[in-house]
Amino acid sequence: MTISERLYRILLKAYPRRYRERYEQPMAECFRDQLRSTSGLYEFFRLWLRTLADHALTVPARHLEPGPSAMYSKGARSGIFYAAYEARAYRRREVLLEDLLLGILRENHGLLSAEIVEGVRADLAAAEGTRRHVPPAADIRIGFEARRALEGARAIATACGAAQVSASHILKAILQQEDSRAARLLREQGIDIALLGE
Amino acid sequence: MHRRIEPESPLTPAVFHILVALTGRELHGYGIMQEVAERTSEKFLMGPGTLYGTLKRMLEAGLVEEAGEHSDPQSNERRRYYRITGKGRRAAVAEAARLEVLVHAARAAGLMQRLRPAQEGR
Repeated sequence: MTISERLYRILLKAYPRRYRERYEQPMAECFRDQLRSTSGLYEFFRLWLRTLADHALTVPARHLEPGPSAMYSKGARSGIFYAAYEARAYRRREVLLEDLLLGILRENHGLLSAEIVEGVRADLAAAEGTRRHVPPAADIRIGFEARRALEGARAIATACGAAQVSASHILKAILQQEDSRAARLLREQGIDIALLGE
Repeated sequence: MHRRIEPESPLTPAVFHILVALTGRELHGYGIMQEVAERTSEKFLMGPGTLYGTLKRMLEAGLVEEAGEHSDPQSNERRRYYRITGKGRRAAVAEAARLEVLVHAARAAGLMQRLRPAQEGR
């Protein structure tokens, strides 16, 4: 790693932690790619000047963005928290879409009937094997599909003008990933997007 | 200030350039940067902070989506790729139409004569 790359990685620490979890690595790779494409001192200094200006403008902007407590409803936040718990219970390194589904169903009892929730749980338990009891923890990586569902949920919330992402929005976003096991399990229980309503 | 991307509202230049770059193909962050720089003759250069901050808002608005991580054919390194969604395409089409109206208005007002190549050499 060059001195410039090291320096840029230090600068990245100024972004909020949640943002860094997701974007620190691709941003560092992007800067490295930019460095590789420069030739000569003039281009090198121009790149650093542009990068510093970019940094000065975007760090405050990221800090001013609303955090998860403003973005998600209480039920959705609890569901995401328990998704991490489910992932750890199955000894996973990251939260899968199935964990997100279980977390949402666990914390939002009114969303689907108890029979449907039990049906989904039983199907997943049969496929996943033994769970173990572990303390809930939020410091587990959100997997690709689960992350895509959370982004999809934000898009659904935006499209219907909702101020916050609800558990129902997340469930719809899970159903949108039609090829996933979580969506298939919901469909097998007779759940589709239209049924979930607004 | 955090600005949420609203459907039907004018897009920022960064959002529009990213949508155009992603039309018809998947690209990773640096690929998007290169594409935008090339299309604008390096007049619109984004840093990683602007690029990923904008991509984050676009993901939240459903204009783009992640297409997974795979190897970049040039560097052979794994990169996170992005692609445009149906909603993103519609937003880009609407923005292009809005810009076309503005360009027509500017041309009608005689503001674009200076941009004609024949007159540039004078």
